[in-house]
Amino acid sequence: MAQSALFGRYWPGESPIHALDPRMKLTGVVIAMVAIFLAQGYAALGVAALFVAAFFIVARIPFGQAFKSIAPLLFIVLLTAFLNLFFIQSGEVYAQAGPFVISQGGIDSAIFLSIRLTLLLLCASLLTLTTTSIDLTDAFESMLGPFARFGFPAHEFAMVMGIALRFLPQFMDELRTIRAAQLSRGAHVSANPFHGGLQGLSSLMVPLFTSAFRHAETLSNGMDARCYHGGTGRTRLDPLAFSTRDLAGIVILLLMVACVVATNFLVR
Amino acid sequence: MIEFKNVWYSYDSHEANKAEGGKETKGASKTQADWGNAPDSPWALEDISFAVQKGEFIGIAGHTGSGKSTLVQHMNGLLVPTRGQVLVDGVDIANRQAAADARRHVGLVFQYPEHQLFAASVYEDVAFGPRNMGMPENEMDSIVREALELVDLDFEALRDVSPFELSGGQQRRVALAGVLAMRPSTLILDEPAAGLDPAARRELLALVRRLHTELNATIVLISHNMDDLAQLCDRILVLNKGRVHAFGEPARVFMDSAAMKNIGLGVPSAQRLANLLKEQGLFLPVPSSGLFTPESLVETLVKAYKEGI
Repeated sequence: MAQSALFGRYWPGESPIHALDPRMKLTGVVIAMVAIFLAQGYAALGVAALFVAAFFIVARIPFGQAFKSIAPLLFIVLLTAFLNLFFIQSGEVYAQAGPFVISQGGIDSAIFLSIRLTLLLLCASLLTLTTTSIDLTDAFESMLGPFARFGFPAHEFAMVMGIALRFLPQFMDELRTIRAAQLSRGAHVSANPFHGGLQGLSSLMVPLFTSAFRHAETLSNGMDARCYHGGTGRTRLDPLAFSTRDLAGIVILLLMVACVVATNFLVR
Repeated sequence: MIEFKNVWYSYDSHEANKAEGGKETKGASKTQADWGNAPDSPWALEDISFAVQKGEFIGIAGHTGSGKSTLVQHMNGLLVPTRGQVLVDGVDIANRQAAADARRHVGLVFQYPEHQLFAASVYEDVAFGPRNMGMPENEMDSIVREALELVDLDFEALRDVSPFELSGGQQRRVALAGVLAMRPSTLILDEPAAGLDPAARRELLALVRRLHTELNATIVLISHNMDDLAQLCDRILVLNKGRVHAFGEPARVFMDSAAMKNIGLGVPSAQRLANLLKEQGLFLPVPSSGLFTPESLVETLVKAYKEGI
């Protein structure tokens, strides 16, 4: 069901990529994305794709699972491809119907952008597939740390993010239950919003929001009960540590950028 | 009448087909972790067959995760069997239209139904179901009034009150009224008394019993409380790991207390006490129903004491 296909749900493993410092992975994803954006032709994009594929192999995540995890977002890819197909007009014209023109340029950019977007999504999902949300928020907090000097609430920001991530699946489950309950009362929850559907929609959203508030209250009580008082003076059980392995990771990613740029120059 | 015919259900039908097809070797496809389902069985329900007769009071018991909630969601077409059929009054409810029709007759009250309240007033919330069912607007007042009276709430006092201002127990009654307002002939309740205090719990179960006797409604009640089930139900369906463990009259179901204990369930407390006394060597005459209630146990014990053992 949709549950297991939720974008980038953590995929437990003990691969070298799982073991990397989350801060490095966060930086690494940005570098990999830069590399993908730098690619200007199919050849360069192919080189980037090879690197991404290699990362997934090293992380021991099956390709099927990789695509499954980005499946809900593939509509963005399709939409982009669709728009490009019709709005980019250059080169030979293949088909024409009124204002809609399909041209060589449109097809090219549709395919090129689809591949590029898919690669970007795969990179992002590799991060969340191999990093627990706790590690991820720790990394955020640590990287935002320098800004705390200027009054930026780094710890609170990370805490809010962590809690939001933690509750996403929970709300998915609850939404499913609420939907089933309202369907049992004959609600038209998937009907069009202009014909009685608005009440159908509010019959889902109102219970979801009240449940969110209920959770927030319980959670804040729970945090109070465990003497949570913000980030000041808090120590860590597992402090993040940068190792040579992480350095190697950064080097490999820079190599990826270099390879992509080189291919840009070599293949014209 | 609701009839289950060899119903199998999997939340991941793809995975289930793979396991069933037998073409692929099982071990190879199962090396990775699998969320949601037990790795050894992709089936949430396995080969379920039983029938609920009209006017019957059926109890459903089972350990957490045994498939109770999955099972009842098949009764009004929210879930469709992966294999097999569910018939409501002889009609297979696998397709959308048949399921929508079945929902007119089969009311489903979820766990913590008060969490599904949403409207600005009690009136609007209770009227939501009947309106969706296309019940006439000019009768709405009497429909809502009747539903609220069934659950012992005052129509005049509460009609314009926001449901969120009510107490937890009252909210649950409003939610229950929202389902009763659709005038279902079958009512399915998923742990209706969960989280209520003892007094509210007794009242709610008395209400369910009244719906059964006065409106002659078919009731399906999920409960973890064996005392309630033994007292209220004509027959009890016991689920274990998605399979039917037992189905029959309370006395028969609870006869094998060891088997019940094995699957994480108990027997009604009066019967348990009688069983313990028996282990200690005190043999009490078995009551005609086959199962001790608190009252019949006290009576028997008093009698045995007077006769001197």
